[in-house]
Amino acid sequence: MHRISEKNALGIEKAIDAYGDMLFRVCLVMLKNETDAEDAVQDTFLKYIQKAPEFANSEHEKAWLLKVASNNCKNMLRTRKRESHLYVDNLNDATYDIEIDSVAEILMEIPEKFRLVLSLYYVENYRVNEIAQIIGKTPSAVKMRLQKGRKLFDEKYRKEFG
Amino acid sequence: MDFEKIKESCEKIRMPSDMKKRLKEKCNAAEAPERNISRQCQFDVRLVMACVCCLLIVLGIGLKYGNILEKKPPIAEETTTQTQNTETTLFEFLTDAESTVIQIIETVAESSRQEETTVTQTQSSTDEPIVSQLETTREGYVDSEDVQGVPPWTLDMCDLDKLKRAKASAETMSEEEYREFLNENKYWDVEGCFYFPEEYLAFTESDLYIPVVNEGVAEILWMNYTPEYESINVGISFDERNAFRFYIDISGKRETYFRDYSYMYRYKKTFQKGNITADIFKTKLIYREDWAWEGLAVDLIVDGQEMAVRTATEMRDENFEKYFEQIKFVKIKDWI
Repeated sequence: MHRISEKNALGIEKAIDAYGDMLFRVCLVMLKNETDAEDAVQDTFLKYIQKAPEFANSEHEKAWLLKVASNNCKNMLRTRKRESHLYVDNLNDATYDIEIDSVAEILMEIPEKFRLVLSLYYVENYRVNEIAQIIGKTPSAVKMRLQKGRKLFDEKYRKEFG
Repeated sequence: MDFEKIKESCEKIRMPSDMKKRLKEKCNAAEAPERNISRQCQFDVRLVMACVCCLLIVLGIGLKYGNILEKKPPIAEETTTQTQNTETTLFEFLTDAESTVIQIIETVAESSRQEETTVTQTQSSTDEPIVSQLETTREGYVDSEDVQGVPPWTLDMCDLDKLKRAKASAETMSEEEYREFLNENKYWDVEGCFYFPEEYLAFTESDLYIPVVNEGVAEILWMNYTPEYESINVGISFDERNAFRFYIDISGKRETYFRDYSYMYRYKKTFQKGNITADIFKTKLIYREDWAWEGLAVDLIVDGQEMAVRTATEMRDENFEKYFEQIKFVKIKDWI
């Protein structure tokens, strides 16, 4: 077990290097806006510093960060009412040089709760039970979201690419 | 559809380097003030203690000199009186000072005890299991829960008139309104048939939803081909009001989420009409060693070509065998 409070300043930088890309990716998929994603990731690491949790291993640490990040994103989605299509279009005009291809764009067009589980399953390689732990749902509910998410993604993909 | 494309696509997304740098700076700044404050607190405490010590020394010296003054013989009565008054005043002052010092010492001691208590409490709170520290939020939408323990669904439990009305109004809705309507009412769309309350449905990896009934006759309601999806839609009903549907992929490719599954069937029944043969069987599906359930599966053979096994559903009704024997073809659209 290790405590973040016992680490020196280099500890948080290591955590950012290890998990920053993953968290940013998940937050960007959920929020569809790089500025909001940056805020969500920042809030996640600040909570990491404030709460100073103890982790059994790095996988536990990663799952904790993902859970906090997804909750941050949900809170932001609830409080900031925005139309999704505006920010999907803005992604390629963003200040940052973030590569978003058409497949990722299609993913971001489907409802948030489906794209989160698709992202955790296919991109971050989590299993159903692990995803259930992260998002706070039952495995049955996760399977349902995966199935519906695949269907929605497939429909949009076929429409785009035939 | 190869869903691995999602992985290939999303893995290219990285946090920009300047964003990462900014994040590190902010995090370091967030950590640093805490260290500075605690050092500062320690410094302040030490400073106070040092001042107290100096004051005590001064007090001690003052008291000593005060005692010497008391022992000197009076020079003159008036002077003595003045001296005594001065001494008294000085003594009172020093006594007051001493009281103040004592108060300061007590205050500092109390602060130290409180600080120790706070540290102890902080340490004990972080000994709690990590689970309690995780934030949880519950959305308003209630998803399907595990079907274990849910009683078999019967026709009496379903308000068919309500469902019919809902279906009629749903036909005028836009796609988005329709999805929202399903979510709000926890209904599922069983194409061409009826909606069913979500909590009574078993969910599977395919588009198969089955309300299990205690009695009735199973029959194939329809079978049609959708060329744009390269699939055949099949609807099977266990009586004239309950139904489920599934897709059979005839492109020859299995869905990726089936790649790790295996199944064994208990028994099967074969139906044939024209060049269509359907093997319907009760099976046990084992998926990726995470979960397994028993259910209904269908293999479809058209023109001698075996189609991909597409679907199965969790079976909760122990009377399934009774209906199973009664499965028959009734209405099949001529889709060939």
